Amino acid sequence: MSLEAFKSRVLPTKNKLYRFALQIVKDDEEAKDIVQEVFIKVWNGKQEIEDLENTEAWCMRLTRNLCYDRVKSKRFKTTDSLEPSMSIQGGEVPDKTMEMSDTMKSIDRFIHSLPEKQQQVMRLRDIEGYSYKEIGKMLEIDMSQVKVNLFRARKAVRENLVNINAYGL
Amino acid sequence: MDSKRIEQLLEKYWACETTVEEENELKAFFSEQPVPDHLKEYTPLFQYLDEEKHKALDDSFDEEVLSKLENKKPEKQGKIIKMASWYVKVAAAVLVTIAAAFLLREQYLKSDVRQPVEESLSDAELREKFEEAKEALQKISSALNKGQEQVEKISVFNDAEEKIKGEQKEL
Repeated sequence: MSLEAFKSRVLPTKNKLYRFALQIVKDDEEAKDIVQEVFIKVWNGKQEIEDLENTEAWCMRLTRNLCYDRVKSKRFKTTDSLEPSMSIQGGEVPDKTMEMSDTMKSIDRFIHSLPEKQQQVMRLRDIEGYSYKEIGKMLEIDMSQVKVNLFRARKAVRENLVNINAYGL
Repeated sequence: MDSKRIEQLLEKYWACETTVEEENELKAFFSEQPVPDHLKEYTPLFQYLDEEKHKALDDSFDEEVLSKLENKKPEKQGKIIKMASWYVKVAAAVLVTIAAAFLLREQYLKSDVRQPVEESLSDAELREKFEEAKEALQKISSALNKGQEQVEKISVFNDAEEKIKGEQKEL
């Protein structure tokens, strides 16, 4: 693979990998570092990768493994140091915007508190838009497991939404 | 967009039966204003999912990675040197054959194949071996006899059983 091919095929996956890493290591710099390491590994072993679909799955798996290695070797603080900085566009009343942003924050916290598999499956599907098959490849689980985890995650999120609306939790 | 359709899509979404396209449709619907009141409670979720996709690395990351990759040119593969022409190939083949033949011949001469594998035994030794074998067989034979005696004892029980059966039939 030439540098040009790398730029056009591998480099564009950077944000997906970054978001995936961020969710595991919960540290911005660390996640960035991991994505960089993944790309260097891909570059060094580039004769192995041919089609893009597999490249992406392979990169994701590599990212996941590197994240787990880092989490294991360091004791990460699990405090939520990253509150997503959201900016809501549109000409809404400021008050309304604030409220929305709070609900979104609490959704974010809730998704972070889900079991790891559920969280990963839901993010890969609902944020990144991968197919069940691709997710299965990335997380090395079968399709039925992908569906079960997604179903549980969405169900929990739905219940949480109902609670937020009913009690403002 | 038709809110009836959105309701249907939402039900499918919770049941994990939506396609990626349908999920995108939902995100698009909830990011557009205004959302009907009865669906408003789902707005933050789909907006959140849509927003999360915007968390991204900046362009300085690309530069950093690319500069690292450019400094780190991929390892060069081993060079294959081609032989000059066909007669070099033939010469090499002949050379290999001659060398192999020579080495095999050396090996053959070193190991004296004509020697018999085992020396024959003398008469006295043969007799000794014969006696040993005979003794062993006798031991086996006496052990078998002992076993047979025991088995004969058991056959008494068999006879008794036959007798009882016979008597039972008569009755």
